[in-house]
Formats: sequence, structure tokens, C-alpha cells
Amino acid sequence: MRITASATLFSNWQSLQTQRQEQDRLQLQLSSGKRINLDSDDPTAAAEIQELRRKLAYLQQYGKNASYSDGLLKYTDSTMQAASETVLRAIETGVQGASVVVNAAERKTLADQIRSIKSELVSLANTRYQGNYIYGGVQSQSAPFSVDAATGKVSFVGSSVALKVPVAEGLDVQPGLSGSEVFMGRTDLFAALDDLAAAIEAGNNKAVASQVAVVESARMAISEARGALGHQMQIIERVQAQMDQAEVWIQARLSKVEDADMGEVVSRLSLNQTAITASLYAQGQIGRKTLFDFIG
Amino acid sequence: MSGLFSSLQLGYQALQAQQLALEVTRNNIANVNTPGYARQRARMVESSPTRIGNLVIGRGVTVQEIEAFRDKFIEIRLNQQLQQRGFVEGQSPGLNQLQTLFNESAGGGVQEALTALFSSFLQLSSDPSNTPLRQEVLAKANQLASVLNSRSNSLQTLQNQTDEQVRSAVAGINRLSERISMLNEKIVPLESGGVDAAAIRDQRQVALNELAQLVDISYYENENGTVVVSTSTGRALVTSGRPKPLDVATGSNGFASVELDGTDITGEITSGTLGAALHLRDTVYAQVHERLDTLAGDLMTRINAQHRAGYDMSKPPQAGGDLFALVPSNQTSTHAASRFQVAISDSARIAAGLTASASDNGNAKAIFNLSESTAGAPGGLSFQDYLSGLGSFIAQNTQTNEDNLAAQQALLTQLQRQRESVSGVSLDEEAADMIRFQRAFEASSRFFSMINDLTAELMSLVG
Repeated sequence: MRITASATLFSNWQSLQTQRQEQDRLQLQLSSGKRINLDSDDPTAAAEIQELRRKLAYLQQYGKNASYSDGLLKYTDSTMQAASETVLRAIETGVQGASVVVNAAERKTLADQIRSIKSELVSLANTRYQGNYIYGGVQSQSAPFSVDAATGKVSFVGSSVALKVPVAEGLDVQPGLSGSEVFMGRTDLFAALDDLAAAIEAGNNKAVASQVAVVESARMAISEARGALGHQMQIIERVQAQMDQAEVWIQARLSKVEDADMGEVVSRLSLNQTAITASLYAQGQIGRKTLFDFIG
Repeated sequence: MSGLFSSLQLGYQALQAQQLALEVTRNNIANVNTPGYARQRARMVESSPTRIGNLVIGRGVTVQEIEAFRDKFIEIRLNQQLQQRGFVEGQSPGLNQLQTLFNESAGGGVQEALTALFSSFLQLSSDPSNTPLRQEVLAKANQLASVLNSRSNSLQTLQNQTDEQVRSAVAGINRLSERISMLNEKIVPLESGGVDAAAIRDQRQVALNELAQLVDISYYENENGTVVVSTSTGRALVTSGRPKPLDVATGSNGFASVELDGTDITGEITSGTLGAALHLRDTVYAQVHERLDTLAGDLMTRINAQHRAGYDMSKPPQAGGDLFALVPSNQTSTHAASRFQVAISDSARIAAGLTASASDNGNAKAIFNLSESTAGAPGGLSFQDYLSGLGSFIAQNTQTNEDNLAAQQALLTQLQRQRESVSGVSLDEEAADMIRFQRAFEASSRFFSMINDLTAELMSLVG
């Protein structure tokens, strides 16, 4: 096959172009740190990267939900502990009122103490966390317990349905309880306190004793509720541990798929540069001379 | 006597022949860089011999013709390969622009925006009455709309650009048809008059090759030396007489269609740059835009349906309205994806609950679950899978085209090397020829000079 001057030049130019394109590609990988800068660099890997990023985003959001739920659970638990202790004071007052013979004035004082404890508990039951009434169930924007000004009767006006928060795929936790379950689950705590105060005032020791038992059982309900919260906290702990692991795995996989292996890129770039230099040198040397340089 | 005088004559003829050969060599050297030039050679043949008694004596050399070295078959294949490469190369920038527009790897794409929207609903489900969280949902919804709008508008721009390319390719084709026709007309009188039209043939082949890059053609040469060019479906572009120009008509969608003699031939063009532009505009871009519009419509339909099933945070809670809407079509945008907007501006109107309580999160959860849901989805694909399919479509097309381009280029280079091998000028060869003819010229002139001396001798004897 005849080789002409322009064939040689064109051939050289083409191979140089190919090497320059490779140089370009490697430089982009080096500066971005990524093996895949355009989806078309590796369509299959690009699709996997998108899926991993999506999974990671949702995982991280579930994690935030779990953290928030955990905070709410712990806060709710602390209010329940306070409530439990407060109710205990009422029980002790009640026992005092039944066991020691006291006069009418003292009975009134004890009854008033009970009523004051009841007010504390109503406040506690209407407590808020980050703007939400925690015992209102899904009616978190208005106070769940209202007190009738005339009769002092406490009514539950919130929702008996508690919020269920997604913390993992297919898994919801309930980071709170409705006030109706906590304070009126077994028996109406506030009504019981009212009745206890009335019994003490009336000096009816038998009634006082039986009311104390009712208040006791209301306190039981609070303990049970705390147990339920504890169970939810355990679920969250387990879920968080699993999600941390999952996140580590996804990040590792993402890195493997999309990150450029720097060492490899640098060494290939170096080879490429050597090839280009050699090519340029060769083009400079070869094909310069023709027969015309040697005749005449 | 006749012997000596005819020797003079033969000597002179030899000089002429060598001189002519030198001329041809000079021409080859001058045209070493001329595109499309085919090297020439003076074909020397022995003149018919003469008989003197029993002896046959040769009568020297004449140049029978000046032949150009061309391989017609290589040139035809080269021409076809230019069409194929033109088709693939013509799509390359357009596909790269499309891929860059829809690139998800670098972030900021549609998939990312959609994931962010669903994440914001997941977040809202932890505390539905939280106003900042609701505003986050609105922000993400607006971001999604903005990304869809911008992709659609940019895609429209790409389609318009490609439309421009169609028009300018047609103009280029017409110019070349005109040129080929004109060169045809020049060749006929020259060759029928016995004059070689090599230079014009070279130019015509160059024009044919330029035309091939633009559109799929086939051509053949007539007996009288003219070339007939037709489209690959057999419609004549250049025949004897005037060339047939292509016309551009604007369709109802604002895009150009290609016509010949009043017939729409847009669908018949399948190669060359024109074919590439049409393929991009009418197939690739159109499909991408259609899928994007389908996605926008589907998002609107399914998310709105779920949103309407819920209750918002108004006092008292109202049933949810539409979350997304399409603004009315106007001249600049008819595509659903460019008209996709958020229909709410007050975050309290986001319907997060399934019951009429201010802080129920049932609907927020339900909307989040739509992200992977296939219920009621066109083609049974979830939003994410649909988008993923669109992304793959673009990425695969782009990558495949790049691979094809490398392959087509390699084939083309191979053919070009073959053509060069046959028709290209080698300076070494011309230099060697030059010496050869120069030496022959010198020898012939010495012979001529010697015969001249002999003749003069003879004259002096006689005179």
C-alpha cells in the first residue's frame, strides 16, 4: 500500500486526538474525584448511584424522625414521672386525712391541698413540647384538658388517637400517648381527686379509703403508660442501630461505584502524557524529509 | 535520408514526451495538498513500428493519455461511509447537550428534586402541625416545579436549535446540488471534445463527498460523463438539466419539514447530518419531552388525588385541594412539564392529615408512600422507576452513539487510507519520477544533437 505524505500526517493527527480525548477524560476525573461525571460515562453505574442516593436520603430522614421521636418520648416520660410523684403526694395526703382524727378546719386544708395537686396535674397534662400539646393525641394544637370554671370538672377535649411516626420502612413508633389513656385510662384521675377531696372534707373515712384506692389505680395507669413508652424507646434504639449500619454500607457502596480511584487515575494520566510526548516527538522527527531533500 | 530526418523527428517526439511527463509530475507536486486531487501520470506507449524490408523498427514514444488514478469502488464506499459517519457525528453534540441537561450524577437533577419532595413529606409526618416543616414541603414542591420547568424549556431550546440545523443543512444540500450540476455541465463539452477534465472531476467528487456528509444519496455516472445524484429512496436531486432543490416547509408544530417537488420527504432521510438533525428533533428529543410531560401529568394526577383525600391545618381543618396545577398553555409553552406549578402558597393548606384534626399525619405518610407506589401509574412504574428509565434512555443513547462514532470514524479512516494509497501524491515518488524524466530528456537531447551533427555533415557533403 502506498503511503503518502498526507496519509501519514492525518494518521498522526488522529492518534494524537484520541490520546488528547483520554487526557481530557482523566483530568476531569482527577479534578472532580468522581469516576462518573456524566450519566453516559457508565449508564448502569449511574442508575445505581441514583438509587443509592435516594435510599440514603430517605434513610437519613427516617433517622431524623427517630431522633425527634426519641426526644419526645424522653420528655413525655419525664412528665409522667413527675405526674406519678405528684399523685403519690395526693395519696399520702388522703391517707393522712383518713387515719388521723382531724377537725373540720384541718380537713378543709387537706382537701384544698388535694385540689391544688389536681391543678398541678392539669397543668402537667397540658404541657407542650416544641409547640405541641403532648397529651392531645393528634389534636396537638389545643390544650387537651379543660376545666369547667363553675364545677371544676376536668374534661378531655383532645384526641384519643396518638400520632404514629415512621422511623423506618414499614415501621412506625408512637412517641406519645393520648391524655385520655394516661390520665383517664383505668379511671378518671381528676374526678377521683375531686371525690377524694370531697370525702376528706365530709369526714367520711370509709369513702376516703375507697377513693384513695381509686387514685392508686389511676397511678397504676400512669406506670403502665410509662412501660409502653419504654417499649417504644427500645424499638427506636434498635432501629437507630440498624440504620447506622445501613448508612455505613450505602456510603461505602456509593464510594466504590462513583469515586475515582485516584492512584489509578494519576498513573494512567502519567502514561497518557508519556504517550502524547512520544507521539509529538515522533511526528516532529518522522516525515520531515522527502527525496527532494537529497537530490539536486 | 528519410532515416536521418525521421530520426530527428523521433528524437523530437521523445523530448516532447519526457517534457510532458515532467509537466505532469510538476502538476502532481503542486497539488500534493489539494483535497480530492487524484494523482496523474503520463502514459507513454511505444509508437507503432515501421517495416523496412524484413526489419521492424520501432518509432519511438508517444504519450497516449494522461490518466488519473482513481478507484471508483473505493470512492463510492468512501462516499457511503461519509453518510454514515455524518449521521452519527451529527448527533454527537446534540446528544451530549441532552445528557448534560439531564445529568443526575452531578446533582441538581429531577430525581434529586423528587426525592427531596418526598423526604419533606416524610419529615412532616413526624410533626404535622410544625409550620417550618410545612414550609419546607412547599419549598421542595416549588423546587421540583422549577426543575421540571427549566428542563422542559431547555429541551425546547435544543429542539429549536436542531430545527435550525435542519434548515441550514437543506440550504447546504441545495448549494452542493447546484455546484455538482454546474460541474457536470462543464465536463460534458470538454470530454466530448476529447479534452481530459480530470481537475473538474476531482472537484465534483469533492462536492459529492460534502453532499454525502449532509444527506443519504446514491449516484452513478452516465456515459457522457455526467453524474446523476438521487436520495437513497430514489428521488433525483441532480440529473441532466437543472438541479432539483429541496424546500423547507414549516409544519403546525413550528418545525421544518423537507420537501422535494412538493412531496414531503422528511421521513425518507435517514443518514448524513440532515438525517441526524431530524432524528434528534423528531425522535430522541420528542420522546424525552413526551416522557417528561407524562411524568409531570402523572405527578400532578396521583399526588393531587391523595392530597385531596386529606385535611389541612386551617381553622377549622378543610379538605385538601390540589397541590399541583398546570398553568394554561400559551405560545411559548405547551408542554405539561413547563406548565407544572405548585397550586398552594399558604403552608397551612397542605393536607397532612387523614382526619380533620390539626395534627394527624396520615396523609403526609400516604403521600410519602406514593414515591414507590405503582398503583394507577402509567406503565405500572413508580415515579422513581419512570425517571430512572428516562435517565437510562438518555445515557444509553449517548454512550452508544459515542461508541458508534469511534467505529464509524475508524472505518472512514481505513477507506481514506485506501483512497490515499491509490490517488494520493507521494513526494518521494514524484522526486524519483522527476529524475527519471529529466535524465531521459537529457539523453534524448544529446541524441537529437548528435543526429543534428550527422545531418549537418551530410548536408555539407551534398551541398
